[in-house]
Parts: sequence; structure tokens; C-alpha cells
Amino acid sequence: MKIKKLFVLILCVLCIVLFCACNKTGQYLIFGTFVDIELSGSDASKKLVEIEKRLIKIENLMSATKDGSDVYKINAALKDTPVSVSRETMQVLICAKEVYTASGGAFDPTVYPLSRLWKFSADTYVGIPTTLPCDEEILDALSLVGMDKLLLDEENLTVTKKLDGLKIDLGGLAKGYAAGEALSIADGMQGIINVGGNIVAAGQDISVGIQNPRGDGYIGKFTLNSKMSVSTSGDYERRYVYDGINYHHIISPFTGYPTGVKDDANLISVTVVSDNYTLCDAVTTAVMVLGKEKGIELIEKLNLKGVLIDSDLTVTVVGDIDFVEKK
Amino acid sequence: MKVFKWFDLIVLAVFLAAAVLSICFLIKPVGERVEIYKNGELVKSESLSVDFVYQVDSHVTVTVSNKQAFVSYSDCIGQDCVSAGKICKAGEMITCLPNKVIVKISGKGEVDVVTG
Ligand SMILES: [Zn+2]
Repeated sequence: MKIKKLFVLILCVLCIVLFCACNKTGQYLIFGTFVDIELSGSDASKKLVEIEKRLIKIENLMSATKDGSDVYKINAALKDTPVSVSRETMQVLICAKEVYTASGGAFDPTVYPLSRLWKFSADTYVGIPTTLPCDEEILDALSLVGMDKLLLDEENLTVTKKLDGLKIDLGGLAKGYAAGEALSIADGMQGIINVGGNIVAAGQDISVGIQNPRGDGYIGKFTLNSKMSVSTSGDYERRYVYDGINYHHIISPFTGYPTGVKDDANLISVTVVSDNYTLCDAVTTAVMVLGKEKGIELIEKLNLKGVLIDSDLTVTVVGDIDFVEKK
Repeated sequence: MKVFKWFDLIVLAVFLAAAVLSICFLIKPVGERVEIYKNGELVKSESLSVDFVYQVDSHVTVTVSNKQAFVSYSDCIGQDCVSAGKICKAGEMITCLPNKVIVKISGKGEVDVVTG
């Protein structure tokens, strides 16, 4: 009988060992984008279900296209009418305003009407343009841009527009915020969280490749330390070519055109590393708009790190990153 | 009693074998694999060394040849997934958002994930 008990004990231990070695991945499509989460640990399956629920909740609050979301309500509201929003949305809006202010308006979530006009927003993008917007349409949309016309009341959790027709899209910020929320649910576990390109290293250092903006594969790699996040913006994603000119989804709030078309912004890919998950993607956008010199200043001012790529594929590393270019 | 002991031994042997195999499988790098997801569900997982053409559904077809994976057909309007080209390194990924298809290379490669 003793031997039998020993058998049972060994079996139990084996089962536990096998269970702990479990590696779980979750793939969802939320925010009109992909979400890819790899976690290891015995709780992984349970945590993934919890994360999915939280992400759907955030989407329902911050999506510009979901009826009844906070952002939808703001976009539909008339000027001088306070709109009540959730604490979560307010937190993301405040972060957006921080980047807006720090970048002198280079990042501005109110470019949404322009993104729609150029057909780069998630709901309008088709990739094959039949015509481009005319100057008059661009000027009209440009007159609706300016986050200074959006008043945030942190205490009462209300948002008031000072301009009819002003519309916002929190896209990248909401995804970054969601990645941070996923990390807090997965606290103590190891893995990688990727919410539509907002990547967070969970509980371990990971090796990250930066996509080659002009070819297959990656151009180089660096180490992303545990609990840090990385995001990349480039002129090679969500774009179309018309009359030989590359029109891409990063619209300058200064010109109303994609960066590099009417200004001399010279960057084709911007990667930013930050421990603030929400602002990471917004800073990459701001740097794309500002161009190299002012972009570096912004990254340094915010105490962040980054990797910038010029149109001739020259790589500039800002701050302490162990970036190694691929030979 | 003797019969029971034999039975226990066999059960133990089977479990031990399964455990050793599983642990080996988990620890040993299994090489790069192509994983295809539709609506968030894994629908195909195959070694990158195997050439194949996989019709995910009537909208998307994925092809693997010469250890490279690419979307060979998609009826989506932007054609981003088709123009994304070929992927072969662990961490690389192609997405077709309109058709809710993700093609991913998994395995222990030079990098864990690609940003961009
Ligand atoms: Zn597609």
C-alpha cells in the first residue's frame, strides 16, 4: 500500500510540473486590430480570459466607431455641452493632452476628420484611392483640428468641446492603455503583450526586431526590458500611392497632409520605448510629424528612448538602447 | 495483489514516458512554425520547412514555400496583407484585418517579436 501511495504522489507531482510548464497564447481582434498575448504560468488560461474581458471593456469606452462609447459621445456632442466620460477615458485624454502640449501640437487626436478625409481611419481605409481630397476639403477639415478646443474637467469627469464638428480618435493611446491594463492583470507572469503594435515585455526582458521600412524582415534588434513598452510608427503602413507619391496614415496637424508630403519631415520609421504604456504610440506619431531634429528633442525632453530611421535608412538611436543593426 | 502491482507499474511507466516527452518537447526548440489564425482561433500550425498552400476560407489563401510564408490571395480591399510580402523569422506576422486572419512565425528565433 505504501508503494501505491508513492505512485499517486509521483503522479501528482508530474501533473503539477506539466501544468506549470504550460504556455498559453491568446489571439483576439479588438479595437479593429489584432491582439496577441503570450503568457506562461499555471494561471495563464484564466488570466487570458480576464484580459480579453478588460480589453473589450476598454474598446467599448474608447472606440471612435462604437455607438455609445465615451469617444463616440464626445464626437457627436455640440460645443459648450459637457459630456460625461469614464475615469479610464479621462485618464487617456489627459495623457493625450500631455503629448499634445509637450510636442507643440505635433501629436493631436483631433486630426480624426483629416484621417477620415484621407481615408486612413480604420472605418474608411480602402488602400486604393480613386481621388485625393482637394485643397478646400483639406482646409475645411484642418479648421476642425486643435486639442486646445477640447476642455477636460478632471474632477467632474466631463469633456466640453469649444468647436462644433471637432472629433477625436484615441486609437494608439487606447491600445497602449489596454496593453498596460493587460500587464497589470498578468502581474507576476512571463510573456509578451501586443495590442495592435503596442508591445509590452511582461516579467522578462525580450528581444525586439524593428521592421525594415523598405523591405522584408527587420533592420536590427534591441532588448526591451521587463515592464517597458515599445511602439513604432512608419510611412509604410496603411498607405497608398497616388501619382507616384506615398500617402500614409500619419497626418500632420500643421499641413493637413501626410507627413513628408508638404513638409520636410524626413523620418520613415519611429520607434519609442517608454514605461508609460499609454503615451508611447502618441510620441511616435509626434516625432514622425516633427522630423528628426525636433523629434529627438521631444524624446529627450520626455525622458524616453527611441530609434529613428531616415528615408535613406540611416538609423539614429536616442538614449540608452542596445540597438544592433542587422548585417 | 500481484496483478494490481503490475498494473500500477504500467500506469507509472506510461506517465513517466509522457512526462519526459512533454518536457523534452517544451524545452527543446521545435524550430520555426507557421501559425494561421482566423477570428482569433488557431486553424493551422505547421513547420516552416514544409511547403504547402492553405486556403483559410474563400477570402484568404496562405502559401509556404522555401521556408517563407506569405498571403498569396486575399479578396480584401486594401491588399495590405498581400503586399506585406514574405515572412520567415520568428516574431514576424502578417495580418489581414478585414478578413480577420493572422499569419505568424513562432519558435525561438533571433528575436521574440517584431515592432513596426
Ligand atoms: Zn488583407
